[in-house]
Amino acid sequence: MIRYIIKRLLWLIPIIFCVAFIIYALIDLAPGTILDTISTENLSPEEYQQLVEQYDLDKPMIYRYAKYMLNLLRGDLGRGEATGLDVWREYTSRFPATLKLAIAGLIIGVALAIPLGIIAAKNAGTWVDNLVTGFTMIGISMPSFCLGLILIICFSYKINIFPAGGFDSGIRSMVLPAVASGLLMAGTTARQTRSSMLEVMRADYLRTARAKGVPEKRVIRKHALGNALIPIITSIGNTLAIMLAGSAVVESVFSWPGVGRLTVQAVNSRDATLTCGCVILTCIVFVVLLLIVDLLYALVDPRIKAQYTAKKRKGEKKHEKS
Amino acid sequence: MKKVIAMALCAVLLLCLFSACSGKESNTPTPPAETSPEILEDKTTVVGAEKQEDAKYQESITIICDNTQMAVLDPASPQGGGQGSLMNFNCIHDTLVENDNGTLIPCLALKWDVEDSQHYTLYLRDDIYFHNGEKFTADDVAFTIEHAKAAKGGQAFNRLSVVDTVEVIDDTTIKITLNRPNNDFLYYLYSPVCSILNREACEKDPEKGPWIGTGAWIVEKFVSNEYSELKVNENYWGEIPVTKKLRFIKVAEEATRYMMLMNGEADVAFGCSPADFDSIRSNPEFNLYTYVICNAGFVGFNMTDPLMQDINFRKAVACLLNRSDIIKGTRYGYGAAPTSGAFWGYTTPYKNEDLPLQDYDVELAKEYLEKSKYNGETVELCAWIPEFKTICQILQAELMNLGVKAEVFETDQAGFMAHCKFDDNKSQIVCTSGGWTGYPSSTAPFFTKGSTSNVASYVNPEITELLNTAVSTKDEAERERCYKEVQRLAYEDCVYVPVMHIQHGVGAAKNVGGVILTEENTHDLSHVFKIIS
Amino acid sequence: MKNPETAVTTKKKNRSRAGETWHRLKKNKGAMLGLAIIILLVLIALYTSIFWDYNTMIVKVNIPERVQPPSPVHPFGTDDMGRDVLIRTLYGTRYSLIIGFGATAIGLIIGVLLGAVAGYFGGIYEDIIMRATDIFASIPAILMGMVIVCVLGASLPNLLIAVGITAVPAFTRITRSMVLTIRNQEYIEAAKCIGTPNLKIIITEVIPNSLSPIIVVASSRIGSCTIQAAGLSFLGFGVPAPAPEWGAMISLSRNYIRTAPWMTLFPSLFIIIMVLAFNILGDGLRDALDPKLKR
Repeated sequence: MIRYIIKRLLWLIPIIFCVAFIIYALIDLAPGTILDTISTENLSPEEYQQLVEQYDLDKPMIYRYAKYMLNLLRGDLGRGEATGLDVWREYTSRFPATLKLAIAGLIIGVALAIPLGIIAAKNAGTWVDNLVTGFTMIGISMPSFCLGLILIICFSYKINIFPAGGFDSGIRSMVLPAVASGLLMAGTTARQTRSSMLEVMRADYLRTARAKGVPEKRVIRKHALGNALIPIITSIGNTLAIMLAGSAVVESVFSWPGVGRLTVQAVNSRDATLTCGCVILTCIVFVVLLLIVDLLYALVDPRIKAQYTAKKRKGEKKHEKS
Repeated sequence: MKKVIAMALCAVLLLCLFSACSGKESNTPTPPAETSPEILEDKTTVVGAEKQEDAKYQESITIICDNTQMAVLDPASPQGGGQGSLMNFNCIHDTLVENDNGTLIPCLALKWDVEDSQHYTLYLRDDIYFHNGEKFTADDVAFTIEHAKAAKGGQAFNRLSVVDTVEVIDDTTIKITLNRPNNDFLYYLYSPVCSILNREACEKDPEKGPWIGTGAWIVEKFVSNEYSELKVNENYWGEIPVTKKLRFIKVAEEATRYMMLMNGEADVAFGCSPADFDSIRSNPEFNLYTYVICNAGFVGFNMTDPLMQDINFRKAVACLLNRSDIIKGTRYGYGAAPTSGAFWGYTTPYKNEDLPLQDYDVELAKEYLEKSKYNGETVELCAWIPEFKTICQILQAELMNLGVKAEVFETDQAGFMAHCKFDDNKSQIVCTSGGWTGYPSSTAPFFTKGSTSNVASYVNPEITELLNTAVSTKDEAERERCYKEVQRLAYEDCVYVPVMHIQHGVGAAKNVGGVILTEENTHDLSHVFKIIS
Repeated sequence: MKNPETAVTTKKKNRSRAGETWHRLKKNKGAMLGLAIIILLVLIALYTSIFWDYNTMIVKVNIPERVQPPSPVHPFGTDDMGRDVLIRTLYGTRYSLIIGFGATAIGLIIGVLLGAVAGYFGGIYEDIIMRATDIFASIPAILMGMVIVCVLGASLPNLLIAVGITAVPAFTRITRSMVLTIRNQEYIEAAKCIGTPNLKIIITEVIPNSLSPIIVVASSRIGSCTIQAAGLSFLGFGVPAPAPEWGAMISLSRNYIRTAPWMTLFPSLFIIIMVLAFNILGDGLRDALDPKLKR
């Protein structure tokens, strides 16, 4: 198991190389450069050329990429080209905010989704099922800024319980943005829960359990939910990844000083160093997150655990039984 | 059947949510009938409540800024030119001179000698200290100029790059020599981007050094592009503000700005959407102050494009600008039509009022179009600012009525700048806003070779010569003649057609006062206050 | 077989797997309703331009009538440029159907194949595919979309590619997780024992049995692909203005959400209806494909 974890973490290195390359390529292909975000009114041609050389814009993208990777290998994420701000410091000062929002959204989402999904599955085909399905549709078919604005209008403007923005009053200011991102999570996860539970509930081993006299609650919780968990966990993992990546929109609506906003601003100023730094750090978070999801699979399903820990024997491919 | 119930339930739920949004207020916001735009009567106007005797003031005030750049709190930085940054600089720093409705009044500089347009001597105050305890001397002025000249691409560089040498004569005297005559130079110095920095602080800490100023407020916390928190400087050399803490926050969504103002999270809100102006106005607890800044929105033509080089086509497009519709459509009526056909700032001096503005005239447009070289190709309209993207769509509809196919190319700022580069201009028709200030030489970038503002890639040697004469002559009448002639030549060439001047609004609670609005969008909130009893 | 007492012959029809699925689907009233709605949307998409001219209804601007609440003349009200919201919404159907359905289809085909290969073969293939998925998932969608559209041009097919690529990681991951569970089942072993080639096992046994959550993901993705296109359209990297793509309509009216909610309401309603219809159909399809559900 430890070997599996280490192997996954070692993959981070080639991933970072690839991600940085892709980002540099994309920023290079995007129209405009960092010099197009500053004003060049009174620059003489020589001074403009100086700026071009300062940002290495006359050299091919590979050169800038190589320079960046060399710095990265020394552990230096560099300074944003446009702002001169230290990338590591800017990212880490905002990351707790994004993390808080993601976790709060996750808690709200899962707390809503799993019970709702189970209720919908148990009452499949009745009006309860349809009500629940309808409710979860809202989360996934409205753009998050729309949902966020509606929440602000209802709960901050009409009824003033929660603040509309900023990051000051602790839990209170976190509620609305967390609900906005949590509803998205709730939508997809509830549907996945309902679907998996339906699958599993028709299984024979449940009939056996009921025939044995196991109380219904235990049947659902231990036997049904346990086996339904794999796709649910995947769905939660997927959606958490989407929340972390798409947090820019929710952060924008609620003026939440998080990482998503920083990345968008970096892209808008065509700042390759800052964008790369943000994306690489977010990527590391993703990889760790997905590793945890995969480990959870192993926790839930012992057959999968066996696959992770299987030793490779000489002359045989890894996952075939001898 | 039951699935139908699901969908019906969902639709009802959604309808409830949306109706909760509009609720009690009238559903149709009535646009202001024929409001004449409230222009600032003077170049700077103090708005809001009056200070009272024995009044208790709120300790902390929160101000919402619009969504422009507030990345770095360094006046010289190219990334620090947005409204939020400028408001911060007004609070944290002082400048050498200040602008009192077009007249320069002393601030950090007590008096000045102007030998000719090229040599200036400034005599500075002797009793000023920076927030870190260092004394303000002429050396700090020299450093500020060095620092600005090193930060290429910023607004400070644009103003101070004209300085050739600086000679520190003693602690309170400094001699500045420009590299060419420019009689607007002293006017450059009142902008907050020319705030005076402390050499010791900036050399010790290049990032936080520029946060040290001589002003009424001290920076406590700053998060790039999010918010800044200031506390009052009790040792300020001027009038000490009655408020103790200031907070500037940058809110990205226009709708959220209004709601934060209404539920008390903010006391002053800049950048509200004109759709909300009437709600603020009609609310008895709030005031709305509207103002028109110098900037002019315009339609420009790429003079290196073969179709756009045809003056008949340009004139045809100029006849299709239905300005009242445009102002209603983009700003809910909160905009000012240009007062003359000249491409000039709204309140910038020496505007040429003799040039008639081309009205909306479809018949005349048809005539020009027939005379032109247009033969069925698709014309491209380009914009990046939201209001101007709408103008492009309106223009597209007008062109379609005449049988001209047009498509709209929308992009972001960097993409736009790359698209309309002077040397490699790929656009055809451009709708954007121009940066004007209170001094007339701010027209120069639109006609200068290689400038980013010159989106038309237009160079007219006559204009260039007139502009050079204008900045170097000391004769007022001659200056006026030159600038008016520049406007006339640009007008005849029909390169930049003015469209409208945007009327902005700031909402504030009724008992907030001390907000100083300026025509250059560099509002001064250093003495803002809120009376609570 | 003959029942000697009644002498009625009951014939057993020989249906193919697809025929069997369709037969079962027909019995599910909800799924049929979903299908009917989708067909209706497709008809709207195809024939709106016949009834209402694009140029007069979409491009033409009518400022005096801007921001009117719903009335008999304009059942859905007018937007900020005086254009009728109902007709714009109807026109927008084609963009959302193409983007929602098409992008999901791209993501599904590529993602399921990759996920199945990763889950089934394991080893180095799994590592490379899953790590490549991680890489693509962590690139900000706005950057990816912006560049794809800028390099290839702003048009509907390019928007499809941009959104489709971002949909691939979800499908890869869910397929892989299902395959991991399935591949140790006895019937897979049995197939291997009799020498069925791996590719055939994947296509005939593995994928159909892991279809259930994939369909759920697919029907959810259709909604989120439309939403993603909204984000890109708002930035200007989607269909060029004034195309009435639902997501773009919602983005551009958000300043009016408090004062003129009808501008945002109706496109949202249509998106929800479209997403619901696909989801219900997806549920029905999943039920119909489930061999354990023989009714």
